Formats: sequence, C-alpha cells, structure tokens
Amino acid sequence: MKVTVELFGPQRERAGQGRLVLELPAGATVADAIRGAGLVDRVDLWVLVDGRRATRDSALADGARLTFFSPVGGG
Amino acid sequence: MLNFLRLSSLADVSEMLWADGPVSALIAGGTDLLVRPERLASARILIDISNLTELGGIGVTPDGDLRIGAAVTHQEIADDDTVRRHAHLLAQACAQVGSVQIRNRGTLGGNLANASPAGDSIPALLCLEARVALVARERGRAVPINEFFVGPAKTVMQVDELIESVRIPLRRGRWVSFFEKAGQRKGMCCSKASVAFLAQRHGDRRLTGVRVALGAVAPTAIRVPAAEAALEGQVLTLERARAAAEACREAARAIDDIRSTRDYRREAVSALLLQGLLPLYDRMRALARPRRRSRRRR
Amino acid sequence: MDKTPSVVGARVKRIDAEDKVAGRTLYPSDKTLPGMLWVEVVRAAHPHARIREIDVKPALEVPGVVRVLTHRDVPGENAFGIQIQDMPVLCFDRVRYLGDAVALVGAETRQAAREGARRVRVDYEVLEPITDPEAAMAPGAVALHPKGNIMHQGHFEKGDLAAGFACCAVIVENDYSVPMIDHAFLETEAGISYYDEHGRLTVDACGQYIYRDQTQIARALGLPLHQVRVMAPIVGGAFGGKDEVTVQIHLALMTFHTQRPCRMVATREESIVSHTKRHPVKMSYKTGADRQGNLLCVQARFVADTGAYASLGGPVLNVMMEHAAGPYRVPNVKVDGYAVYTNNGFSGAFRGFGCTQACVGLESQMDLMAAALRLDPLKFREQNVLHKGDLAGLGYPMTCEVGAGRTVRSAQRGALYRSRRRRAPAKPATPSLKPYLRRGVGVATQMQGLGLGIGIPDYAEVGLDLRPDGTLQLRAGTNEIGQGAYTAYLQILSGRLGVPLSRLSMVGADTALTPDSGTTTASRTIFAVGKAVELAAEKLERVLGERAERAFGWAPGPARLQGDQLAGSGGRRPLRELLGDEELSVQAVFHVPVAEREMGDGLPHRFYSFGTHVAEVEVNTLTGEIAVTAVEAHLDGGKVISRTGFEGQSEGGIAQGIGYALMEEVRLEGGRFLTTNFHTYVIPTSLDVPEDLRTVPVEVREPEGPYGAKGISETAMVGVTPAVLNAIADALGVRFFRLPVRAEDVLAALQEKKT
Ligand SMILES: Cc1cc2nc3c(=O)[nH]c(=O)nc-3n(C[C@H](O)[C@H](O)[C@H](O)COP(=O)(O)OP(=O)(O)OC[C@H]3O[C@@H](n4cnc5c(N)ncnc54)[C@H](O)[C@@H]3O)c2cc1C
Repeated sequence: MKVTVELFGPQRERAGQGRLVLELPAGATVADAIRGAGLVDRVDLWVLVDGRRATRDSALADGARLTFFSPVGGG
Repeated sequence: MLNFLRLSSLADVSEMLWADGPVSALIAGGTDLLVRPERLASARILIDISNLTELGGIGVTPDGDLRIGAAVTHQEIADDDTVRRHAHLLAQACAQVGSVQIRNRGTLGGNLANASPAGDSIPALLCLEARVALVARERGRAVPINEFFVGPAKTVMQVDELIESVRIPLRRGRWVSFFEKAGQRKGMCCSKASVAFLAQRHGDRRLTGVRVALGAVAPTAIRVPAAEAALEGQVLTLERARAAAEACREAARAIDDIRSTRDYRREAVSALLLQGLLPLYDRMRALARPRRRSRRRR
Repeated sequence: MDKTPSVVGARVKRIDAEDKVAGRTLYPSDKTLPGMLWVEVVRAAHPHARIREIDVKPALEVPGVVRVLTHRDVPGENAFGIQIQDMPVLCFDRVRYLGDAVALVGAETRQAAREGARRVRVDYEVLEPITDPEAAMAPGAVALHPKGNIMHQGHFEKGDLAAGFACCAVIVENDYSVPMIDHAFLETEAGISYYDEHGRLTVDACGQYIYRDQTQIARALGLPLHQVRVMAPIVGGAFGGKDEVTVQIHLALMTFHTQRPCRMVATREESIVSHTKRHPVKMSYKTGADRQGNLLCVQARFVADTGAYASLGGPVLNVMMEHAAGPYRVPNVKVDGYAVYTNNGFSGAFRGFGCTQACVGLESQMDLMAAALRLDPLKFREQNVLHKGDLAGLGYPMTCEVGAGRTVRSAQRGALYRSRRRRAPAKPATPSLKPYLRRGVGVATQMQGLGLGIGIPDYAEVGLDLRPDGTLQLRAGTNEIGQGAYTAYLQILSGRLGVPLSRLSMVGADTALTPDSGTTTASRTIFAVGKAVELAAEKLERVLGERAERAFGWAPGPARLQGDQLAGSGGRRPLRELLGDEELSVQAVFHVPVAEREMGDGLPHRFYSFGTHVAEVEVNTLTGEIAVTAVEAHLDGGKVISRTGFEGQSEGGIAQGIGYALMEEVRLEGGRFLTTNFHTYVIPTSLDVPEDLRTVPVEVREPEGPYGAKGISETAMVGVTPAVLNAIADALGVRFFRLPVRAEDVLAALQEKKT
C-alpha cells in the first residue's frame, strides 16, 4: 500500500525533503513508516495520521496521510 | 523552630523581653516582619502584641498629650476624629500607607520600630514633635522623636524595651498641614521621597510654627530648618514657597538605590513641598479676598 | 440575519468561578501527596562559570535528605528546550545563567531539602559574564554555545528602500530600547509527581502544553511517551512564562529515582531568576512617508537579548520581524533581526511574543511621522492600514478578514479620542489648583498573528462524550490559566447543540484523558480549540442521526439533543433508547489553515487580530509622576464568544501594558538579578489602572473561526504600551525612546527641555 508523508522542521531536515511517498506492506504501522522514511525513531518525533495524533503501533491504511514533525513551535 | 506567643498583659511581655530579648521578636501587624524572612530567621520566639489593650487606644492624657497606642493601626489613626482634630497631619500620612490591607494591619509602633528612612508616619511625627513612650520591665522613658532614630533600621530602643505609645502635644489655634509622597506606583508603595508640612495659620495670612520634614532622603527622616525659616512668620508667596522647596532639595542627602536615584529624590522633595504649598497658597489668597470675588475666581 | 444563539457573546458566569472564589480549586502549588518528598534545586552561583566538581556528600548528611541528583542521574538526553535542546536538565560542565539547575535535593521536609541544597558543594571556575548582546555578536566573543552567540537571525527585504526613501517627504529615524520584564504570574512554578495506578510516571504541574511537556520529560528520562502522564488543568497564571518546561522534568526525575511522590514549589525569588522573560530589545527604526501621508518605507533592526538558552527565542524574533511594519501597507520594507545568547537570564514567550516590542517602536514612529506631516494620528493610520488582499510588511498577502481599519474608525468615534484637544486635566474638581498637571491622549494600532503560524502543524483535537441522560462532557487538552477558555468552549458547544450550559461539563489537560488540543498560547485556543468543539458538535449530531436512522428508521440527517430526548425527522425519542447505558464519544480535530508560502519558522501567520488603543495620561510636571487616567480598547477579535472573558482579557492587558510602559523592568548587573521579588520588581496595582476603562468589540467575523471568532489575548495588551507612550509625548511635547518611562526620566527630560 501507499502512504504519503509530509515532514516539518527537524524531521524535514533529517529526511532531507518535505514530502515522501512510501510503499509499505499491508498491515504496516506508524513505526514501519518511520523506518521506511529512513528516520531514526525518537520520542520527539510526532506523527499524525490523517490529521490526528497516532501512536507507533497505529495501523495504517492505504492512502493514509502521515505527518512527521516535532513540537518545536509556540507563540 | 519558631514559637508564637500571645500574652495577656504588657507586664508579661516585658518580662519575656527581659528574659529572652535577644531571641524573641515582637510582632504587631506583621507587615514588615513577615516580608523579611532574614529577620525572622534569627528569632526563636515571636510575641504577638497586637491584642494588648495597654498598647491600644487613642485619647487625650491628663497632662495634655494626644496618646496613640503603639498597636493602633494606620487605618484607625486615619479614621479617628481625635487624631484628625489634634494631629491631622498624622492622619494624612497614615492614610497614605501601603494599601487598605496594609493599613488595616500595620501599626504605628511597627512603623517606628522598623525605622525605615521611608516610614510614612515618621516625617509627620517629626513635625508634630511627638515623643515615643518606651517601656521595659521596671522602667519607662519618653524619647523625643528626633532622638529616637539612629540610622536605617536602628533606634535607641534596648532589647528589653518596647514602644508603648506615641505622645503628641496638643496645639491651640488653626493649623494647616499636608503629607505628600512620591512612589513607584499608586498603591502598595514605599515612598521614594515624602514631605510632611505643618504650620499655624493666622488671620493676617502669616504662617508660624512652620515645620517641614522629609522622608526617604537621608538615613533617617529629617526636619529642614532652612525651609521652615523661609516660611516662618511670613505670608505665603510663590517665591517663598520656591525658596522653601529649594531648601528641601539642598537638605536632602539622598542615595541611589533600586527604587530611585539621588537626583530624583532631591528633585522630588522640592516638588512635593511645592505641590502641597500651591493649593495652600491658593486657599489662603482666596480667604483673604471678599467671598464674591473669590468665588468668581474659583 | 444573525442566527447566533444567545449564549454565544453573552456575559455568563465562568464555570470555574464558584470553586475559585470559595478557595476549593486546587492549583498545582496546593497539591500534596502522602509520603512525598520536597524537591529543591541547587541553582548556579554565578551567571557564567565552568563546573569543576560537584560534591553532594555534605547534602546527604543532612537529616531528612533522601536523594541528591546531578547530571549523572539523567538517564535520557540531558537537554531540553522547545525549539533547540540547548538547556541542560542538570548542568555538567558549565552554567550560563543564575537560574541554571546544578543538582536536585529530595528530602522529607522542605527545610531539610533547603538545607541540603545549601550544602551541595559546587566548585566553579568563574568566567566573565557576557552581558551586552552587541558585544556577544562581535567576532571573537566567547561563545556560549557551540554554534556561536547568534542564536537566530532573519533578514527580509521587499521593494526598493533607497528609491522609497527618495520619495519620502518625512523620514523619521530613532533607536528604541525595551527592558526585560517578568510575567509576574501569581502562582510560582509548582507541582507534584508520582506513579499513577497504571504505573505511569505522572507529573501534575503548571505548564502550557501537556503533550509537549510529556515529550520533553520522556526525552530527558529516556522513557517511551506512554509511560509518562502529564496534567495541568488549572494553572495560576502564565502569560507565556510557563510555556517552556520549568519544574516538570525535575519532579519526574526525582520520582523516577526514589519511586516516591514529590513536590516542588518555587519561591518568588527562584521563580524570577529561573523562568523565561520578555526579551529586552534594542531597535532601530527608520520610516518614511510621502507628502500625502502614504507610508512608503519601514526599515527596522532588532537585537534581542535571548539570554542563556534558546527556548522560543527564535520564533519570538520571527514574530517581531513579521510585525515590524505592523498592520500597514508599506511598499518598501527591510527588516534585520538577531537573537543573541548572553548570560542575562533567559528570554522566551510572553504575551505578544515579539510583536509587543516591535509595536513600541513602530507606533512611536507612526506618531512622529503624523506630527511631521501635520496629520491627525488616527487619520494617518487609517490611510495606511492593511485591507484584505493587501501585501503585509514581509510581502505575503493578507487572506484573512482584516479589521484594522474598523478598529481605527471605532477609536475615532470614541469619546476619549474626541476629547483629545482638551489640554487641561478634566478630572480634578479644582483644576486651577493643579496647573502642573499635563494631560495627553495617545493612540496605537496593532495586529497580532494567531496561532503557531506556518512551519509545524497547528491543530486542536477534542473529545465529546454524550451520556444517556443527555448531559455532555467536553475533553480538551489545553490549560485553564485564568483566561476563561473552558467556559468559552462550553458556550460554543452550548450554542451549537442548543444544550444549556448547566448540562455541559469540562475535563481539561490530562494526557491520559484529553486529546492533543495544542498549546495554550498564541491567542489560539478560542480560535483553534473552539473550532474543534464546533466540529465535534456537528459530528455528534451526524453520528446520532446515523444511529437513529439505523435504530429507529428515521430519515437520514443529523439528530438534535433536547434534554434527555433525541429529536429528528422521526419525531422525539428518549436518548436512552438509543444509547442504553453506554456513553457515545466523538473526536474532532481542526487544523488551522496556513499561509501559502513559508518564510521562516512560524512565518508568516495566516490569521491576525487587530486593535486600536486610546490612552489618556496625566503627567505631574513637578514630581514627574505619570497616571494613566483612561483607556479605550477597540479590539477586533472577530465574533466575541464570551463578553466577560473578552473584557477580562482587555482589562488585564491594559494593566500589563501600563506596567510595561511605566514601571516594570527586570534589572540585572553582571548577569545577577537585582529585582527578585515584588518589593523591587514593581507591577501595577488596581490603583494604577484607571477606573475609566472601555472595551469596544469590533466584530469582524473570521469565517474560519467558531462563530467567526478569533483570539484576543495578546492584542489586548500589545497596543496599550505605545498608546501610553504616545499620550505622554502628547502631554509633554517630549518623547521617550526607552521603557519604562519613570518619574525620574520625566523630570530629567523636562529639565533638559528647559535648558
Ligand atoms: C505591601 C506593603 C506596603 C507598605 N507600604 C508602606 C507605606 O506606604 N508606608 C510605610 O511607612 N510603610 C509601609 N509598609 C511597611 C509596614 O506596613 C509599616 O512599617 C507598618 O507600620 C509596620 O507595622 P506592623 O505592625 O505591621 O509591624 P510588624 O511587622 O509587626 O513589626 C515590624 C517591626 O517592629 C517591631 N515592633 C512592632 N511593634 C513594636 C512595638 N510596639 N515596640 C517595639 N517594637 C515593635 C517588630 O518587632 C518588628 O521588628 C508596607 C509594607 C508592605 C508589606
């Protein structure tokens, strides 16, 4: 299945790009997507799946929109 | 470990002080003591004197003094008719202490014992030529207010002494007075500079018995003889007011600190005296004129 | 036609009012647990020093001391910081400001913990403190961090500045200086920590974003997120000062090592020394307008002293630059900004977030230009304000609703501005007696970005639980810091569902119970969380409709709640028939739309609130004292959700703005704090705030917000300070370029004017 990943801030820097399309096996989880993006998992890597906070074991569906970022903003 | 004691009589307190003076501290309103933990740190016994009837009350003594108990609060003084009649200046000063909460707790005795150069009752008491009645176990004495303070936070009080009351000689005649202070803000504020003024007003518009005292511009509150001399026996004019203000500026031996600067404090005492004298000047001129004209001039 | 339900925009009693007034509300500093340890922090003895050795033995000898922790005891990353993790949890090689934590002492009593903290021996090699940001930026300066002392910089240019200035009839150039100030929240940093019934390391402490704090704790302790729980529903004030982590990691660390519940409550002295401040900034502004009063050029340079660590210094500088040209149409703009490391405390988020400082400079310039052009200050502003579709200062289009012009016109109509030319003080009963008082009226117009801006997702998720009796519980992860947002959320919910407030309740800020609603900062919660509440309400009705369709055969479409009944196409049925004894829960998330193009971290914003403040002052030319005698706030926060909350924000903002203008300043000498309590750090009292306060809502609805609402909390404060400054200039004919303007400064300036 295919999922898209949008990356922000430090995660974008680490991955070297702002958008990725990942090909993952069926039943893949958020943890798999992080590995698939070539990122080292860290506790401050936050993931949204279809706009909502997800945990590492959240299962992904085909076409899921993932967001990788860190809570580095404020205001 | 801090022990808190409330005793039922002045005699018991005196006894305690005599025995344990160095390790005990008196607490009246607590508005100075409780915000200075370093002073509490050295004490082992806290003696609450706020409830002692001997330290309360406002009245006129048989020998013709206004007596104000040491544990009387600033608010009680500000609101009291006897004080307003005989020592209006003190009521004016006490009304400007801190805030409602502070005035409801803080006492006259605490203000004196604390001996801050910025204590607001002190310039007023200097003008009123008050005496501080001190008691110890088996003795008592009355110290003229101008001899009571030795320096910032220092008085002539011995460890076993406490302030019983303040005595103010009654005055005859018509007196005018004001207390003006400048601070960093309007409420809850320690004076950067203050001025107390007292004078007897005569029908011919002359002022006599002029007293001018300054707070927060010297190690202790001070009288300003040169300012008093500039006004004594004279009709108040703007030039004389300015001369007196100038004398205040000269007399101020202010310092730079976290609250203000030496230069400002010198400026401020002169400004505060003028600010107080201007309405007085207007009022006295108005009094001298026939009613109708004075009204038209507002 | 306006179909807004009456509960929205109404003056309603806050849901937390009774408990707070009765003293029943437990703030983090009120909480205790059986068997807990007190934790005290050993803070740096010097603003800049190398640590040679830390000896904890003497502390361990104090009876009652249970544990002393140092950097060796930090199991995860010994670093934290919202944006850059440059701040040690416990210092190991160096201290960079007096608030730096070197060791933690856990003891059975607070006295023992304090005594233990006093006994920890730290051997320092004292280094020269770096206190001047310009010097810190200079080549060859000792670097406080590996990448040098310029923590962040930004440079923006639009148009052609030289050509623009060539067309200007007036050019005004000035330097401004604004001080470091403290948030002066009532409750100092405090909280408790313990293992909850599921074995989660739990921190119940003041803060402004539980989910980010959870991450910062987990990172420092080397724990997975789900083993850390953070809650902070009620906080005793923050204003940005609790945005960065304060006590949370320290609490967690002590509980982690001792397995015991722990408690911390900072003293005021410790609080002032340790938490972030408003950045002191030196600014240079050069601005120009043509003869017709069209603003042509704004050139600004900011040097912000960010202190020892980054925290949110980068985003603060960005917002400062974003708002350098204010709510005005300016074709030629150049902005340069630097945030520089020094040993002067450390600075970060504070109501206004950089906008505050820029507004002081720009709005002073606006008045000076208006005067040079002989234009009315408000007309000059009105002529130049941004409208929807215009390009903002940095060159991006304003795509939100822009109420700037309407706030200016509202101020023009206001009584205070119309009274402006009355020179003598109007108030004293006997004016002739006070010829030394001078009255002045000043204005300032301002805009303020809402939310986090572009750069990271800014979203709010909420949960809504419907019980079979028809009562509802809203769950949101933001904090109640005194601003009243929880009440406003329920007003929105009540409005959307038609369910009275009395049937609604609120659960706030607990990572175990509430979804991630984002930060409690940036004037964003009414807008972002409020919108999520609206979406949740819609979703609930949709889900109810779907279930009623299945259960009762009703026609498709949303169903509505009516007490404990459900109403829809098929009439009314008791809710219990549908739900049985089960609760029905829905979640909804709102993503704040962002600008099209990113220009830097958080830059720019897509949504802004606007405001015009009018202030009246009376200056005593004898003593130099300044009294603010009236303030009118004309604020565009979109549709007002809670009138009481709106006015509360405004009036509090006025007090804070007056403090910034006239009295507040954290003073440092060689990196050491001189003003560490409210005796020396002076903030306004109720007597320093005028009785004559008027807040006029200018409701330009923002369709993206709930009921058209936007946030107001920062706009309510930012314009006040320059309005007061401009009023002083109006009164005296003397302008001040340095805050705060104290009586000392007034007298010195008047004397200079005379000579
Ligand atoms: C917020 C705030 C604002 C303030 N503003 C002002 C102000 O505007 N002007 C001003 O002048 N002061 C001000 N103060 C200081 C203080 O309120 C006054 O000095 C007050 O009069 C102290 O009285 P107390 O009874 O509270 O003293 P306490 O705190 O009870 O005692 C002060 C000291 O006096 C000693 N003492 C008290 N009574 C006696 C006695 N009878 N005999 C011997 N020793 C005694 C105590 O042992 C202690 O050392 C302010 C204080 C605060 C906290």
